[in-house]
Amino acid sequence: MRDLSREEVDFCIVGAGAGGGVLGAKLAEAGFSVVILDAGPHWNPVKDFVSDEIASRKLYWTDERITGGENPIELGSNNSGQGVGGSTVHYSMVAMRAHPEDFIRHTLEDDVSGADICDWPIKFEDLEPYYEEVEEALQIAGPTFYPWGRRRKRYPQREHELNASAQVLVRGCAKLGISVAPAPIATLSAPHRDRPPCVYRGFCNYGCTTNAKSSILVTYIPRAITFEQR
Amino acid sequence: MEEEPFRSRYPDYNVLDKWSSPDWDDQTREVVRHRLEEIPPIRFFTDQEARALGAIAERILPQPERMEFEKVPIVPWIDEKLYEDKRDGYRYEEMPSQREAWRLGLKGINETAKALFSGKQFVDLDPLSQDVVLTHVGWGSPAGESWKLLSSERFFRDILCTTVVKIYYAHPLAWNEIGYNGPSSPRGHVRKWAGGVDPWEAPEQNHSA
Repeated sequence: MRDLSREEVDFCIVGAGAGGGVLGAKLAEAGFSVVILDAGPHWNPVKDFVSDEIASRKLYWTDERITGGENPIELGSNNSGQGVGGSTVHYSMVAMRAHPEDFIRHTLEDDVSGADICDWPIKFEDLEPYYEEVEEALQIAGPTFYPWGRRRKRYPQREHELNASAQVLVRGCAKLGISVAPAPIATLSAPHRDRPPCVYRGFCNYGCTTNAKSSILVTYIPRAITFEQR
Repeated sequence: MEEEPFRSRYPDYNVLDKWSSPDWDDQTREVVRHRLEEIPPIRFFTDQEARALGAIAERILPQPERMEFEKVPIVPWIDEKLYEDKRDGYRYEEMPSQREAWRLGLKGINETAKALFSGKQFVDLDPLSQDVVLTHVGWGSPAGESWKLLSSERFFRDILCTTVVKIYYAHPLAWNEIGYNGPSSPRGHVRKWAGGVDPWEAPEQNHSA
């Protein structure tokens, strides 16, 4: 571990999660020197992650948020994360793109009384190349045929097998005439470099101990670190 | 309310049998060991508060078939959470922070008990009377000064019951009785089809339960 307290660097990023991790990697790969700070530790999944709800609380940001109003939303402990990888260490990996229509809701739907709807200042097409880049970097495992949105490149990895409860949903949707597709997720279904595919432990929200989950911790962060020139 | 004895569908299942299997890595074993062997001492609650909370927990999640020393411990873990002030990441606007909420809640439950049962403390009531007190607290407008400072419904459901249940079901005995195979790391599951049971999981025995 180097002591960086006297070094001057080009960039200092606060937070080593989905935002900070990606930014850090891209800046490092562009040749800049970068320090990324995080409130929590640099996790070693194989040693630090425990498949236990109570013991996994160390992954969460538990500083107290206040929820109020007439119908206060029940928040959770694990809305945000702390530690390198942030909440991508314990989120449920669902990696869906927004739809082109989501960016032009005002154009499509007129005003709603009491609400301030407006179109996004960017279009889906502006984000599309970045979606492709990140889906490739995270090796998203998704269905061959995705029924919604724009035609797209195939997902880098094959979809995961549907489990028993998903199959019940599929049967029900078929009877109701509702189209379904497996959700694209940021978890490997096949080996990729030195990471193995998922073995279906079911503890995704408590940290993946097998490194099949493509969190920022095991994707962009190693890229940022390995690209160090020294 | 007629209480039927609880009958598990998995009476012979012991999740600890897979202690040395590929299902549990070192850090998981350490967490389970700690939970079983290192019950923390009471450092936050007073003796009276701890005893009251023990009686309350026994009504929320009764363990009548277990001797005292066999019961899944609940109060020590709540005590540790409050002693170390390990919070949940959020609270409702009108609720005080957790330490104050628990102290007020326990006080309030006793105030309600005394109001309903001629000055008796919660711990001195029989189980059915204790249930009456808790029902008032959870669903009614319970008597007691403390409930002016703390929402009784919110305390009962979102703090008291939620915490007791989370702690109970974090214990291997609770996993056994519901046939839950506990942590799985590094090994995962193979027989993911409907009705599929991996060989190391709990086979269901008591179908008529």
